[in-house]
Amino acid sequence: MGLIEYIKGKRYGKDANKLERESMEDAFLQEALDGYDAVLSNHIDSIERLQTEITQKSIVKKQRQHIFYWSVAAGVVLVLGVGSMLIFSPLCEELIAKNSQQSVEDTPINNTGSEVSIQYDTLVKAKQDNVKPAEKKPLLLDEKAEKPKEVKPEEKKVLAKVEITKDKKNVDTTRKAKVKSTQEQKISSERLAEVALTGKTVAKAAHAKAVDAMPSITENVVFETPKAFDKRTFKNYFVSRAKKMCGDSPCEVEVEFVLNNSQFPSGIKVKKTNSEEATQEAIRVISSSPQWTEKAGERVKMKLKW
Amino acid sequence: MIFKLKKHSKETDEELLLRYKETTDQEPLGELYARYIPLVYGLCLKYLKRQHEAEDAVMQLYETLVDKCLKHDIANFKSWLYTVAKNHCLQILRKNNPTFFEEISDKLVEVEPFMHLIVETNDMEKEKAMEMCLEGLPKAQLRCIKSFFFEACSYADIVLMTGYSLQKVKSYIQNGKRNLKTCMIKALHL
Repeated sequence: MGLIEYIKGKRYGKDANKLERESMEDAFLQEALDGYDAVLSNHIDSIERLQTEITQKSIVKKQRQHIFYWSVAAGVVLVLGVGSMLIFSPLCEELIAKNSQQSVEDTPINNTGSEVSIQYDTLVKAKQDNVKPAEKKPLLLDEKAEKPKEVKPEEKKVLAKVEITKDKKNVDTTRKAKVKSTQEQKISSERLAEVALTGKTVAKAAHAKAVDAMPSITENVVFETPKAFDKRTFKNYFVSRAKKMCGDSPCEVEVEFVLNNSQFPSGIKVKKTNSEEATQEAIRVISSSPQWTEKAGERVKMKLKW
Repeated sequence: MIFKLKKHSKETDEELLLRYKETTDQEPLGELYARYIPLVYGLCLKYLKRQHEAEDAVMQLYETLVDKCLKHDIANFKSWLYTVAKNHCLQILRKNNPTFFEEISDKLVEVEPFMHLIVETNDMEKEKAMEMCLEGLPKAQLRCIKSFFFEACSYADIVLMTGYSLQKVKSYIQNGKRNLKTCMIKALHL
């Protein structure tokens, strides 16, 4: 008979005697029996409850340990995952490229246009050589991304022409051309760095930027920008530039803008037009035009017809 | 129930203890301690006298075992647990009543092997010594000793037969056993 049976009340007979004799040689058992005899109550329930609690406690602690280890493991995986995503993602590449571009922009440009062109060629070539065939198609270069290459000869032309006019024109013109040239050089170098480092996206943006900054290249004619504009000078200047824009059909663009305190155009509105291309060109030229001779705050309305 | 209670394995105390020490996983310790809860709880009842205090002490003791088992080299878990549990109870008593003194009763002392002197006495000399010593015992002690050791009656049976209280029966048996042992050792010149 076990202790539990004895506690339950089976205290008669030989089995009980056997346990009691055992207790004579086992102090632990003897004192336990004395305890059960000293306090009369339903001890079986208490014992079962205590056993359950102890077992649960030990299991819960084990599970808590497991949860702790699993959460640590999950944390490590998460950190590694996010880290690797940041390192290898295109976003990160773009960020790196932007940083590099920033450093390129910060360096002073002392090169001439032709030197820049040579550098551009070299870099593009080097880039193309380094790009793996698999990367070329979807990621770095698409049809549009290769456009900067097409622009290059035109860019060169413009630069060369600026150099030619420098000898022929007066000092002011030369200064302007120099400024223009420097701007173009800067843009070219920007584009070089961007194309070389990032490819598709940045190259596209840089291309658009470069094209915008350059004089219109619809004609291979060099235009001399007047010092200041009034309605008449502007009309002459613009019409001469946009002469062939609408082909044989007549072109008409009616624009309106206000001269700000510094006498530069602002709030340009197109009232009437029959050519989208001409409109864009008009807006572009007006917005990048030099100071106007009309008074500040004056509303200027112009009908450009040719 | 959220947690399924595992049935007690057939692992020995030593195996469970070793597993706990190796893994520090509390599951084997819980299983080992659960085996001794009836004994520990009874011991705590004896010293603390109150059921809920005894229950608390059993749970507290488990918490102390978690560390103690790892720190100590335990040869016999049951004996070690008895000492630790008893000390824990005495500590609680000291906290509650600083002037507490433990009564060293006969029961605490008389745990030495005695049975070999009265059981299987094929030896004639031993039998004679036994008879002589039994005659020398007081009447109440003699009756209780005879019923308990020779007729295999339990305490409860003796209570029923004699009408003595349980405490008296235990006391008569304990004292009678001690007197008999002393007498026999003298008689047999051991």
